[in-house]
Amino acid sequence: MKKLFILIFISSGVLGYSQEMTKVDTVAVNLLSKMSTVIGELTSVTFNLETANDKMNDLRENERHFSTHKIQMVGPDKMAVHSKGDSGNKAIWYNGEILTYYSFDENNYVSLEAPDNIIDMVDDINNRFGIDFPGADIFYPSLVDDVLENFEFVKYLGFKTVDEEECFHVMASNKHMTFQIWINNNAMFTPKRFLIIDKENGHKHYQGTFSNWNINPILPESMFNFRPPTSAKLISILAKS
Amino acid sequence: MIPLQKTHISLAFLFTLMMFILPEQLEAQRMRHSASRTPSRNVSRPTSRPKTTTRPQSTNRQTRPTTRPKTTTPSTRNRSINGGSNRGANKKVTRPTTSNKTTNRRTSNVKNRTTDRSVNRSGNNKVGNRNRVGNNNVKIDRSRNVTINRRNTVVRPSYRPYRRPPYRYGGFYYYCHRPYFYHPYTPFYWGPYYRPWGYFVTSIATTAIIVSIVNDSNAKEEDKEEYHYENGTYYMKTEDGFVAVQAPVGAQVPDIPDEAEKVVIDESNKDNYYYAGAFYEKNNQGYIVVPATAGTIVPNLPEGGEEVKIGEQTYVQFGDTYYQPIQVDGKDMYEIVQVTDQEK
Repeated sequence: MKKLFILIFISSGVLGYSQEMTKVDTVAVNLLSKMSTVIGELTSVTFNLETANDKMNDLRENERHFSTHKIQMVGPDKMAVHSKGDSGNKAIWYNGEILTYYSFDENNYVSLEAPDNIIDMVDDINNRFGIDFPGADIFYPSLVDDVLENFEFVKYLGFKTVDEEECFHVMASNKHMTFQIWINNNAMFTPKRFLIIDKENGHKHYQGTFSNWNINPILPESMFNFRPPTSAKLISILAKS
Repeated sequence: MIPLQKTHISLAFLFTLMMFILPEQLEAQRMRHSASRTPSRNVSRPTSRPKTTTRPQSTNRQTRPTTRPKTTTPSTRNRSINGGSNRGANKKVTRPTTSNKTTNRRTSNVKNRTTDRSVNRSGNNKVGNRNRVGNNNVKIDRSRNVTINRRNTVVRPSYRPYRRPPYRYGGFYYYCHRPYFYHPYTPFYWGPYYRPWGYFVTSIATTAIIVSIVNDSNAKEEDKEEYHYENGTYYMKTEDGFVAVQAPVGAQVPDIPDEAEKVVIDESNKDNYYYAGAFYEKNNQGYIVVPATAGTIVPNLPEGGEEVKIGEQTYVQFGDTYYQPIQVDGKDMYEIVQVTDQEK
């Protein structure tokens, strides 16, 4: 009992210090955790995502680019993304072995050997070639730990309405970045919207709004295999480092 | 008491760990995600549902077994889209292995800037399979061995400053005066005398002249490379004959084909010409091959280039020279890119 008391004392000291320094709201953490758990239990999913992304233009000003993405995933190793918008019309097919990145505008593509599961693939391809997967941050299984580790403040900001849907609003911030997420107040706790503000590079915004969630649908394997158009050109790709 | 104690030990350990873990870990996408926490393949996770459920016994109802039969629902975790949420623990997930799959699909040539720079910098025009440029679907005669001599593809910096911000990728800055405008790379045919790189002939005309190039200023006379020049084409001798190669920087020739086009390279108002991927400067003895200069705009590119995706953009690469597809007055052209590892 004495040992337990000492342990509680030490633990509460650490906790108290952490609470004071990190200012982590347990409600916010629970909401993120619930959302992350639900996502982790999905075996397949389709959804739409509308993104707004700031990019520096020729005038060295932030120019907002809008895109829409249709995303399909089947665990553990199938993914397809079709993106349209100001940054071009392009698609990704991943079948567990090969990732193909095809540009409809340029009618060329790169095919790359990829790891055998979605998260490792996203990590690998993004790190080696800088290819972005829209909304991928939200799908990392370590999202909650990453937020707790990298953000000083994690706060629940109350109920908000996004596209006429009631949502929980959670914000995390540190001196480099602000991350906000709106989580649907429904049984699935699906993410509705996220916003990432890069405080260091001209306060660039990256926002995504989810819609048309289809949970655990049956999707044919063939939709994750790419068959190049006869005129499409397979080109080389330069690794980032 | 024991579970409570374990909980606190875990919490204390977790928070202590969090204080020491540096955030400078693998960064994917926009937020920092730790790859080390990404579930790997071998540890099972406790199922969230109890395997057996005990119901309270009802006295008024028909007698039933109070314990539900053990349900063996197959775990969906193996098929999870992200391996399952793994908060606060090193939970690992057993995934079905896909290593036995075979892939017959062609994949892209992955180029690495550091590796590329280390090869063939000695400046020798080699004829062979090493450092072959290709792997694209342009109509290149695969029987030819096209080799890019990197010494001859070094780019001189632009003579005028860049007003447009560079395109950034992989720690490098790609400067161009004009905006990116993609059009497919189609090698140009310069006329009946044009011989693409790698073109092989058993003999050349007696009118061909011999051009000697010294790669290194400290090299001896016998280390000179000998080229045979004829109608804008440079040949190197092989065991069986002669093979067309890119123009060696520093080569002095008396004339160039009529198809050569005048190009603006700098403000010196010198007469500069472009033919089959080579840049010439007029002098008293005729024409001398000079390195490409960033910012120079050319209407066409020869065979031997390779389309390379660099981030979101597609350039045509010849050794160390990158050409950005652009449009000038509605016409498809290319601008030589200035690549630097530091922002200007």
